[in-house]
Amino acid sequence: MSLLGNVLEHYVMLAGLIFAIGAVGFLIRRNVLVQLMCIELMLNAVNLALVGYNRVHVGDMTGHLFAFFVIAVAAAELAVGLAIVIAFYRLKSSVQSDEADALRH
Amino acid sequence: MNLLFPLSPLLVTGFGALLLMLTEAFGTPRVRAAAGEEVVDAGAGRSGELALGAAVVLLAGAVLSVAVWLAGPAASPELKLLEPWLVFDGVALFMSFVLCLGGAFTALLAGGYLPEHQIDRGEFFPLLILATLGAQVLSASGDLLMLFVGLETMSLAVYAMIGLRRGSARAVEAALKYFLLGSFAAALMLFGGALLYGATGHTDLRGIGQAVASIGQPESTVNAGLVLLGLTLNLVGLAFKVSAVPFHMWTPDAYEGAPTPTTTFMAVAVKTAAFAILMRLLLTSFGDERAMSWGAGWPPVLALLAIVTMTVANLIAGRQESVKRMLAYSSIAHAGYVLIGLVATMRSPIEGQASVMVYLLTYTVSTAGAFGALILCGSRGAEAVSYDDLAGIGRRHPAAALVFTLFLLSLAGMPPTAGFFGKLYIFRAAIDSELYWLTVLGLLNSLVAAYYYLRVIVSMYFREPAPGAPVATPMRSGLVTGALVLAAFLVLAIGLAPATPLAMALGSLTGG
Amino acid sequence: MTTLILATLALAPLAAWLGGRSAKVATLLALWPLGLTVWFASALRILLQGGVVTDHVAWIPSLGLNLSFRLDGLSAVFALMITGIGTLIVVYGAHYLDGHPERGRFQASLFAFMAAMLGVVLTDNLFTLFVFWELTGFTSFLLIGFDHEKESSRRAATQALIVTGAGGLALLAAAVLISQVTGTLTIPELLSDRGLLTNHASYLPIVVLVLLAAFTKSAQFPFHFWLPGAMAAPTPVSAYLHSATMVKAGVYLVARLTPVLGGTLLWELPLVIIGGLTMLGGAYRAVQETDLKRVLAYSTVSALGTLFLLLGLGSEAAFTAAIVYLVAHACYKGALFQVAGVVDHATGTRDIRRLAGLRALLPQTSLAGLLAAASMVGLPLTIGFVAKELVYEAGLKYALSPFALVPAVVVGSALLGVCGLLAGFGPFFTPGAPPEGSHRASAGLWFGPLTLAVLGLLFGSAPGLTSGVFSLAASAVAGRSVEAHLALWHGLGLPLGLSALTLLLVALLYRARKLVRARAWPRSLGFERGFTGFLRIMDFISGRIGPPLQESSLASYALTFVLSAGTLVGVGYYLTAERVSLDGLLDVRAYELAISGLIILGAIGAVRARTTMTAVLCLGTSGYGVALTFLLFGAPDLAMTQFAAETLTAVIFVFVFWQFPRVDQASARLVKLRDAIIACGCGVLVTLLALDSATLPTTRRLSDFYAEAAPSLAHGRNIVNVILVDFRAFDTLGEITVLVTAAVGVVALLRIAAAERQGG
Repeated sequence: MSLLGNVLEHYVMLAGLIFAIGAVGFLIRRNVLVQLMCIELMLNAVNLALVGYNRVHVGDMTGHLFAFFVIAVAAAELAVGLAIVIAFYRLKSSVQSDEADALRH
Repeated sequence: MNLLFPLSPLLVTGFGALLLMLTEAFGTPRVRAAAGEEVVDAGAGRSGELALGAAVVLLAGAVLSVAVWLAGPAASPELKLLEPWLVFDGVALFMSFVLCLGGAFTALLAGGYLPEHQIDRGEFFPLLILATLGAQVLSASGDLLMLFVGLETMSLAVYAMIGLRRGSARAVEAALKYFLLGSFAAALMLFGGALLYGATGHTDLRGIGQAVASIGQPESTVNAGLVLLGLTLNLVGLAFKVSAVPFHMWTPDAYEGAPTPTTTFMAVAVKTAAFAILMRLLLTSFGDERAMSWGAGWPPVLALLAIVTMTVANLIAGRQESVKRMLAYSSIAHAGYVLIGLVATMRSPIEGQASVMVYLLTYTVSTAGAFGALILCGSRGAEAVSYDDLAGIGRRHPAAALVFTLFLLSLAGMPPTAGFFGKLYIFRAAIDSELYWLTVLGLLNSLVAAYYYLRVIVSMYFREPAPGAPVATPMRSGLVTGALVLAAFLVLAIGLAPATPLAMALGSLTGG
Repeated sequence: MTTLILATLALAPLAAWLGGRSAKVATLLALWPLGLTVWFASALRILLQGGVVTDHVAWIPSLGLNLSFRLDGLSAVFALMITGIGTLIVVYGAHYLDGHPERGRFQASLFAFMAAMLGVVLTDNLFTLFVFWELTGFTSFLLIGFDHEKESSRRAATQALIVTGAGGLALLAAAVLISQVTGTLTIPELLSDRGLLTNHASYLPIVVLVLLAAFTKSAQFPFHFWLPGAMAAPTPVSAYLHSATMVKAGVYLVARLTPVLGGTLLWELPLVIIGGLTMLGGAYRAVQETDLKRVLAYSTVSALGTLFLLLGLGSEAAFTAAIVYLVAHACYKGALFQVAGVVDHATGTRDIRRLAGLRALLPQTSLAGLLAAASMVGLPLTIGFVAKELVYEAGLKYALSPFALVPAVVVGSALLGVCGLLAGFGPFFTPGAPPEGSHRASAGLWFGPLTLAVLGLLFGSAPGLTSGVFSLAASAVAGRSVEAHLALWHGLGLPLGLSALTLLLVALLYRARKLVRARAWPRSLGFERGFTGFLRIMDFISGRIGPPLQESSLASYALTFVLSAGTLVGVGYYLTAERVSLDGLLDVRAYELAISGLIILGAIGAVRARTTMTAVLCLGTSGYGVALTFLLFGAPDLAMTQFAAETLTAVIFVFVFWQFPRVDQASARLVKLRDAIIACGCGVLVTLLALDSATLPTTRRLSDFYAEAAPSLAHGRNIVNVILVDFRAFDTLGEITVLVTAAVGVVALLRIAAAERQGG
């Protein structure tokens, strides 16, 4: 348990790091496509954490299964997201999120 | 295995969505193509039929939810087979009823709105039903995995429903903002879920609950820090979905930019489902004495959110020039009231939960009605949006103004409408939990809120349009009228016989 | 009684229809309140025989709420005022608003208001009382704002609603607290729990809340300002709501709860002090006004103060005086308001400096005005006289400090008497010519005020007629049997002397009225300004916090989101004792380090990439790294899925770029070269690592259950597949739904694009 515990913590730290990089990227970038990718990164980090944790909780495959679902759903989400981005691009000829400012108080 | 009947609310919506999708795909378009234009959408021009179909499906879902509720979930032991993934208990059935009702309102409103504003797109209706299905699953899920699946089904469909309006920069912008922030919130929730799984070894809410309850005991191996992180991230994600301040910023933009029926759906069903799962998550997984205590648990966080949400939303709502945007802020404020009910579960779990359930029901009928009335007051090219657009409606279209007034009074919590009892139950539960100052703040806020709801009434009855200003002519649509009549009936019926929903909510909780 | 109230409400649409026709037809509407009056009058017989009339309908049993109504002496007095004056107002309003395009709405609102007001005084449940209380507020909002073209009307209506609505919330809070303490909201049951409440810790907040509700509704200092403002309402509304009914709801509430909450200094002292202040201040302001209706409005404020003062005195004599004063005030003030309306209608002005010599033009109205003024001044034979005698008697008996009280009451009464003369005597009997263009008034206009004024005379000259009812009402307030001694002649005594003194003062002050008016030092204490100032401050705050919180830029939204979430997490984390342990960080194997580095580098690269293509490649690298980790963790299926999904993602992204001719600035050649090298390097590294890791022993750690159950129960060998499609089939079904939803959504969104392209 202790060895696994150590390995586990590495991977959780790694997952946390990737998640944080994704979140920071989401914050600082204005390119909608890059922001989408940052969300993908964050989801990857989630998968990493799930699979890592599954090594501690060896009773079942819940972590692995969860990761399966995340992968598939992330792809679906990406598809919808890109469709929206394309629609946005057709109207604004830009993929900068700063251009989204028609709605004001 | 007799699962068909108890699961029928879900099955009806699921199959209804497929059926409608096929009808939409293989039907012949009713719109004749103009020269040089290809009709690409087979469902174009048939919104009326599709809307009616969708409304029938969703109303059937609502009726079946009540039927199963009446039969009693306990009467179908087979439902236990679905646990812990889907917990189809009394609360879930009650929520399923509210969600289907909200979906049906949306369908009827869309049936009138989409053709009127030339967004006559058939995909809206299968998407709507799928979103409702996702919401039902979300509110009934007993496992983080199912929660995620339900959440995504609902959200993906809603993203598309927002961006549906052809060539409208505002609609696409609304979709983009909601999508990006929504996916971000979903990622946060997922990471929170992963941490909870890591800390407890469970993804089912009850298992998490048992592990969390063991924190502090000597033999416990559960890492409290991870649990806390996981809970907070999940709270943030759901706070986003219910649009609690400060996670609300997308709401006014998305609500304003989206086609009004979609706005209705977001305000009604998405919020209800998110609150349902928030309540389930908190009470199942974090319902032990320590996690529910004022000193070491989530109640103070939610109380803070409630106060900030109500106050900020009500203060900003009063300044809006667009009625649609005002209603968006009002829906944020209502989230604050519901949060009070959630905090009240701290000391009186049964009353607190029942008050939240009843509130969501009354909020659904009033909000759907208010948006519906706003739809009715506008017509092609002249959507009623601002206060000025509504000036003089009281004279030009007395019936529309009357029902609008009714819904606004209900939102303001004026007796004897449904909204009043929603608020009453919430505040009662809060007082039962000795949350006096929270109640006082809630009451003060509802006073501030009454001010801007009245402003609409004043515009409709006491004001005439400025000479020369474009006048919004009310549209004619049997479907919208039907939705409004149904909503008005429910607002009054709940207002006059408020005991029934309360008894249902209490019965759902006590198994009676 | 439930039926009667609901029927009144239900008749509102009929009232709208009939009221919209000619004045004669609209007059027919008066039959309904007349019938109600007769019904309540005949019910008096039961009351006088010692009975009560009750009516009980279950409403919300789970909350213990019922629609139960109870008619006792106090309720009967109020109900008769509401229906009786209501009858006259329906007639008066029909003629006053004759030809007004929206007179139908007036009658409808009036009926709704009448129903709500009856509900307030008849219910025996505090909660139901609150419901009706708020309904009166809302219907009065509609009535005050009737002339909605005027900005002042709208503002007055909103102001009245906000002030009284806030009071209503206080009442609700009080009701909730009371039910917390006693477990009941039924007034008869509360009566038996009296000691429980007065000795409870919540007694102070309850009293404060109840009095707050009463003072706001009944326009007491410092909430009095809304009532003069509400004079923007048409005169029939003022005559009904602002003299006889709605403003007295607060008085009713205090009277009703006196046997429950009263009898303590905490309850009585605020009533005496606030009531006394309002009595003096209101009367003083009244004589300085020049607008007929504002004179009456301030005098009403003053009279309401007197009523609270009397209720606060707490003696049986004071309660009796309060009831008689209440009825007297309703008679003369209702009449005077209507007289003011007739004068306004006939001459087109309400300025008392311009009104004179109207006696010949409006003979019947002048008679009504004269009688009402006499009652208000307190001339013998009028009910005003009887009431005044009783008030002085009660004041003299006040145990605490009669010497401060009595002079105040005398001054207040004298000032009010001046108001009566200003309104009912001056316009008709001041020598001078009526304003130009004045015309006569129809019978429908003078019928109401004359009836009320004559009633006042009748009650005053034959006090025996009413003393039984008044005794009952006073008993209800006192909570024990009280015998009201009403008489024309109380004998020579101090009260009579005070009455005479009052008359003298009235005569003197009336003669010097212009002087009094000129001496207007504190014209306004600025509470109204305070109120509007408060609203403006709220507006300012919301204007200040609105824009920064709603910048409409996605970046600021995301920033707020993350900052808030971070604060929540950080604070929570700081507060928990346990931390995630950081031990053994350095105990890492080399290939793990490599893969980790790959993932991190890929992630950073994706975030920092200048061109979108680089970002895609970096994202893919990072994703492949994650897949490799899965492989290390013994999940080859998952790893394959991840590989496939990453590839697919990259391909989709690339396809999307084709849609965009130019996404970012074209990169310089050097940058492109650098990107290409990095990308190739990453690809090589990934491949090598994949090859390497495939040789690692995979640690499959599956539960025994799945391993055994998979072949036997589900007839499958691939355990993950079995789990997906069998053990957790439901989740998979859900996932498929997600994919379907996404597909439909993409179709919906992209077909738009296709159509746009087709259409050009």
